[in-house]
Amino acid sequence: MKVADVVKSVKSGEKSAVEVVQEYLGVIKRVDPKVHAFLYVDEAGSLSRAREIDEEIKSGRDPGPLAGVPVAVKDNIAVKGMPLTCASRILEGYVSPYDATAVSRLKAAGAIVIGKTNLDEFAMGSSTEYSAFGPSKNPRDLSRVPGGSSGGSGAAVASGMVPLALGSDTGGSVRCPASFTGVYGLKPTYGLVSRYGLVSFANSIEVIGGFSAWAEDLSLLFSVIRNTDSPDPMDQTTVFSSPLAFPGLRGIRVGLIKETLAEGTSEDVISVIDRLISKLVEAGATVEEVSLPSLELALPSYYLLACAEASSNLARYDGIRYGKPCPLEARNWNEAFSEVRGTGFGPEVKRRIMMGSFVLSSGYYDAYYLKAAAARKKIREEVLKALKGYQLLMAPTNPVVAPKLGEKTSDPLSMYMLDLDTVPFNLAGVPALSLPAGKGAYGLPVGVQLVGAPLMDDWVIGAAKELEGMGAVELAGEVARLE
Amino acid sequence: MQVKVDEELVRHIASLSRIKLSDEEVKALVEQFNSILSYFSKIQSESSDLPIPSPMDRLVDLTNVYRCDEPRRSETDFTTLFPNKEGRYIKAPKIV
Repeated sequence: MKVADVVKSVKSGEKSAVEVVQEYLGVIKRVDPKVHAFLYVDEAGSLSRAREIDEEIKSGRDPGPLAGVPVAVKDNIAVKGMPLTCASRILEGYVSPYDATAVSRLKAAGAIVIGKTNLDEFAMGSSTEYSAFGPSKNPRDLSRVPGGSSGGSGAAVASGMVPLALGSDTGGSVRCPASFTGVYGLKPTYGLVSRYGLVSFANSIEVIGGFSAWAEDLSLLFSVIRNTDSPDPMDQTTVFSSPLAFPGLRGIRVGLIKETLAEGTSEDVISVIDRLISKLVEAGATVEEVSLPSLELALPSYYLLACAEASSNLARYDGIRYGKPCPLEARNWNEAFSEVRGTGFGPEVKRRIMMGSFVLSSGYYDAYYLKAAAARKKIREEVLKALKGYQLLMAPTNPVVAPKLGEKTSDPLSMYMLDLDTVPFNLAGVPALSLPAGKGAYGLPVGVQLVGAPLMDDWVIGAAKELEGMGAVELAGEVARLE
Repeated sequence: MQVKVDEELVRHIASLSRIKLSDEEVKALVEQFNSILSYFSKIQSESSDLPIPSPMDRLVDLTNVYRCDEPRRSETDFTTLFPNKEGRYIKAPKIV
């Protein structure tokens, strides 16, 4: 059921918000033991909020554009009164004292936060296997990963446990799980959705984004959380008071990024792209290959910068003010911090903090950090230049379909490689949407990215809607039934 | 410049990062860092001629936004989160 239909039936009184929430809670109860998308489900709280929505409607008030719609929130985004774990032992016992701006926007629009979803610890990973609470599973094939880091949110939408979910995208963390689980995932323009209440990992790069089964739902979600005025210094609040509407695919120039189709990208992924190209041409768009030679530097540049920022952002976890307590009997503060951080952080988080400390340390700063920053600037310039000649860019979301659980965990570098085609657009700060374009090997979902110029988020969503309307998005609206 | 990572360097970085590691963790990290850095070394060869951006270079131009200086949360929002506490005070390891 599309989100707009849920809202319509709640507002018309055809179905109460309580009934809607009960239905989805029922699906979660039956399906989540197989998928493990959720770390926390707030049954009592979501039902009581649903009763309030029903009361508002009865008394003639409008609860908002998302009246009665259950939403899942990635567990690195603050929801007042709910645990905030970031899937880490170090945040044991932490209950958020406030709502993230994106969450308060959703609540004000009548949406109901039903629970918190699983992720790779501190959003560092591409499979959810780095969660301290065990991995989520891909609803399309339970022996495979759902992607990451927002894998719980992707899996929750892909299995019909919620119609909408929030995630965060630092290097592909919304788009990768969207692609692997066969749903839509949007990484908005950097700064267009407030990060206030999002736990910082690499704050010069990351954004809050969303998941849905239909393109129209994503557009509705985005219209609620965008252009916020919050304590996030990077908010772009004043831009685009009247956004340019998407003019339709006819006459649009689409650049297919040559480097993303190179060796390492599997044949089944390329054939899904080929099919989409023919649909774009059918719709009246022009598709041409475009080369972005600096893209080969994107992965090292991204990881070096993201780790550097992580090493400084995660310095706050010391076991003193919140989370897992540091040992009071330690001989000194450094020993106390090292003890709690050594036992509280998982292996990937330790690896990234240390990699970050390394590239920021004396003697290596010039050789790694500054080179990565220079490469980032070059990549951004190349992407923006390409977006002057083409209104949209196109690339696979991931070079392969979802790997098996355990396939990539022994070799961190092979896990990083999954992000090859998503990180460039984080470095450039441009909007990128993964659409569930088709099926590849073993019938598994394959996502394709549409990328737009900064602030042209409505165009990538508009293009997705039009493609969906002409039947070009094979998995649109198709959720896995695991009951 | 291809850095050779050894156990001593890993222990030094761990100490800078305030992370206690077991001997097995140190061994595994030596191997992983060498593999990751050898892949990342292309950033040095390929971007050696690129200009170094200014530290203020960012994706969004900052503009000043003024807000009223009003408390939005209460003290107890935070004191209840203290893992080691006595009343409204944080308990921490001894300094001397």
